[in-house]
This record gives sequence, structure tokens and C-alpha cells, in this order.
Amino acid sequence: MKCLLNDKNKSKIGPDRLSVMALTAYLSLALSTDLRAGESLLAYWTTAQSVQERESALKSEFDKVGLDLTVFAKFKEFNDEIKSKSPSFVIAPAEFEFVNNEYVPIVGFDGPAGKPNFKYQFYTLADGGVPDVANSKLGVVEQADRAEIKEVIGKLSKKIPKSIKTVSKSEDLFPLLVFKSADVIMLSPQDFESLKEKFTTAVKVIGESEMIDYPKIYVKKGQDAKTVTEAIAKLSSDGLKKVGFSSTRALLGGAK
Amino acid sequence: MIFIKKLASRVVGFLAVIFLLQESGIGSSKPKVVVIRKASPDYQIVSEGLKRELERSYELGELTIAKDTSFDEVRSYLENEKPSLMVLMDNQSIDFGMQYNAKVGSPNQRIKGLGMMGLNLGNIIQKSDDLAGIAYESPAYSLVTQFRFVVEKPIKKVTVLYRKKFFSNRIEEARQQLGKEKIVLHAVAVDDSGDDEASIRSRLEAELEKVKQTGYTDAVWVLLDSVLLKPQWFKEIWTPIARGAKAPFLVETETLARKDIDFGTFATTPNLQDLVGQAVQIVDAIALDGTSPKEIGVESVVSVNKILNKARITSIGINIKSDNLDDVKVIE
Repeated sequence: MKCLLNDKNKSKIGPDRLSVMALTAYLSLALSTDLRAGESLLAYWTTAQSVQERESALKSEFDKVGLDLTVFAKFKEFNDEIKSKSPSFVIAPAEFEFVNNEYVPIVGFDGPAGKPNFKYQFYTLADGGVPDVANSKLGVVEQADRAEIKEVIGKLSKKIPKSIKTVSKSEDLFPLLVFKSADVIMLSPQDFESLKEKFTTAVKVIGESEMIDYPKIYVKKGQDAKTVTEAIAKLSSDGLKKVGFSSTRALLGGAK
Repeated sequence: MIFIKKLASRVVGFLAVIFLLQESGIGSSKPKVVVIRKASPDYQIVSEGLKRELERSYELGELTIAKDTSFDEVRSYLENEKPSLMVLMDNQSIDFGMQYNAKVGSPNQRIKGLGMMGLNLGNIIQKSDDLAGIAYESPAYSLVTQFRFVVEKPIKKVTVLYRKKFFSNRIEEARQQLGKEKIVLHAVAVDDSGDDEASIRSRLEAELEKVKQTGYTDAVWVLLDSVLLKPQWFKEIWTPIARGAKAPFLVETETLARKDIDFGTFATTPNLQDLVGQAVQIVDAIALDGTSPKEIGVESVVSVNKILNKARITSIGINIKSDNLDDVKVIE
């Protein structure tokens, strides 16, 4: 609350101060070069797979191109980390606007059928009626701040639902539906297939979203990422397949 | 010169008033939300989570109560704070909130709210028009489906022993939810032939004995009922049977799945971080969107932690699907 400034504490620029400034300048220069060992790659995308599964499939692949991958289980943790650390590289769903404002896509993932995009599907209980998504309580995995979620989901689903219930991970969508806290849930067909191993509750598809790109790898705006982009585009597809992607594509215009 | 001095003094005075108003919260256009809670760690975790999530949109207050806190102390706090909404954690706080609303009488003076982290809220909050709730018990649907996912044994029939006087609604809800997973809930009301202690004990013993028979049930769901699980009965009836049966006992608290207790095979408990998210959505719905608490009703806990007692599951000879243990806390 209080901000106190004491003139006596203002240091003059002396040799010590200059050496700190020189070091800072040197570090800034070093950090602007392309592809550094151990550069952080923070990742979040909605999936029924656990963090451990995704990290064990992809970590060694990204190590090869000098990126230290950390996968986040929850949107909130990812969002907080990006805001506090401002990393150079992130993997995020294409619809994340806050990422799109500050980052440029350099590599896109293709889905299992080799396509770059998919549609979410809307599911409801098979033994119930067919609710209109626009009049429904729609259950979704959290992918924006509270203030923005309605707008983001409205864009994806073509209609703004009556209310939105968010959960932090896709496995919580089935309980949401069964407990009647939501009457429709939104899932990718891939996640639905994974969740069927855990839940056998019969559901039916009542609609689908706009076409959405699979997650992408982004680089901070203004950063040179040509070498990284080329290296990632050559990654082995074994690790990618384990997390449900078939291949990567370098995106035109993203890399310098 | 005098004019400038006067003007400067007025500006300084005006800024001081603005600062004081900001500090005191007077004039804030944000709705006020107060949390009334006990001091124990779980409440503190959730309260701090709520604070982080809500502080941008609400003015916040908090009252920590103890066992001996009186209703008058809570009433005086609420009269002083005049919140738009109260978050009541645990049964004592919920009871105070409901008493307050009953005493003020006029609908305009009643305070809407959310009751959470208390037991049996389905029955308690049902009586209130002003409160929505989140039941704190881990739903049977989550407990059984999560357990089924980590074991190779098929789970088609689950047995539960309960007191119909208090748990009928919960049992019926669980029966419908498990039915969607093609799991039969075999529920036995142990107060069916009398609700005195002797009758309940005798029925409980007889029904639990059946669980020891091979093929009688695939799992036992142990309800968190302070009467059926009273220490003496837990020691004399429940524990020997759980240790002698081949059926896993599924419990609603991590304590009962501890290795040293040697009782529960698997537990699910509310995930407190996600509980915060669930509560925030209800607070927003009531305070910002104008949804009536009655319309929201009492929600079930959606996100759970999973705990597996490895020694217990090994002793009853059930194989684990080790690939499915990523987010399960395994007690070795």
C-alpha cells in the first residue's frame, strides 16, 4: 500500500554498478541469439492424457532441439507461469488469445488423421432429451480467465451458452454431466475416445464446434526462431504419435 | 499566492479523502463477499484460493470462528460488514448463516450465500432459499469409476450399508449415477428393522459378514457416517471384516486408506484447488449473474484426489493397472 522513497538509498553509478550493467547487457545479447540449450518450452493443451504421459513421450524429443519441456495440467498454472516468466517458447491451443497477442506460431501439430484441425463435439446424456447448446449449461475445460471464458467459448461453439461450467481437466467433464451440473459437455473426439476407458455412461453427440487448429508451438514476438523451427519440424513422429499428433509443420511467416 | 495555497490545500484534502475511502472500502462499487470459516488447514487453503480468485471482482472479508463462537458474534459481524454474499465453510458456519437469515425475516435483508465443506448439505441446504451448496462428500460415482480404472478386476456390484433416516437421498442419487455405468448398487438400510443402537449394530454385523463370501460383491462403499463408523464399531466390526474379506473397501477419506490403519483399499477426496474453482463459479453466478441460490441447489464435488493403499490391494490379490496410476497417490 505504502511506497516510500529514500534519497539516501539512491546509489550513484560507480564501477560496481557499471559492471552489473555490462553483465546485464551481455546477458541480453546472449539471450537474443537463436536456439539456446535448456530454453524453456511451457506447454498446455486440453487432453485426457496425463502430464506424465505427455512429458515422457515428448521431453526427450524436445531436449534434442535444446528446449526444456514442461507440461502443465491446468490452464491456471500455465497462465500464471507465462505471466510471471514470459518464456520464449510455448505450446498452446490455437484459440488462446492471450498467447496470440504476444507470440507468433512457428510450428503446427497435425492430428491423428494428418489434418491440421478438428471440431469439438457437444455431448449430452443418451437417456435425456436434446438440449439446445445456446440454452444449455455447457461444461468445458477451462481455457480462459473467468471474465473471458464466455466470449472464447461463444466463438468456438458458434453460440453463447446460457451458462458455462468449467473444470480444470477433461476427466471431470463426465462427472459434471452425470451430476447434472452441466447438461452438455464439449470435448474433442480424441479426448472422448480416451475418456471412454474410464467412463462408460452412454452419451450422444448433439452438435459440433467451428473448425479449430490443433495446438501450436509459439515463439515470443520479435524473437528469431528459424533454427528451432527447422529442428522441431524434423522431430521423430514416435513421441508425437503417443500424444495423439501425427506430424509437425513449420508455419509460414512465423519463423524469421 | 493565497489562492494557490488554498487550492493546494483543497487538492491535498480531496486526495486524502479519496485515499481514506479506498483504504476503508467505502465507496467501492464491488460487491462484498465474506468468508466465515474455521481455522483448520483445509479451510485456510480454500479460503486463500478464493481470495486469489475473487479479489479482482469483489471486496472481501473473512471471519474465523471456533467451536465456542456464538451466533451473536457472527450476527454482529454480518450486520457490520453488510455483505452481498457469504461463503460458509463447514456445518457450524452454515448453521450460523441460516440462523441469521431466519432471524432477519425480511427477504431484502437476508444474505445469499454458498455453503461448502460441510456434511449432509443435500439435506441441510435444501431447506434454505438463500443458500446454494457444494456437498463435501466424495460422490460414489467418482469413487467407483476411478477405482475401476486402476484395477484389472471388473466392478459390477457395489455394496453399501447406510441409515435410511439420513442417507436415503444420497443412496438414491448414487444408485442412478452408478446405473449409468452399468454398476449395481446393493444398498442395505441397517436401520430398517429398528433405529436403536443394538438393532443397527446387529444388522451391520450380519450384513458385513456376507461381504466375506466370495463373489457376494465386487466392492464395499464405506459411507462417512459418524454413527456407523463410531470408534468402537470401527475396531470391533469394520476392521476385522475388511481385513478378512476379498472385496476392496472404498472410502471417502485419506485417513481410512492409510497403511497403518489397514482398512480402506482406495479413497477419493475433494480436490481443494478445483473446489475453489467450483465455488468461484457459484459465487459469480449468484453475485454477478443474479442466479438464485435455489436454482443452483447443492452441487456434488466434481474433481477428486485418488489414493490407493498398495499393501491392502496386494493383500486381497487384485492386480493394478500400473499405466493408469499417473495421478493416483499410491501409499506404499
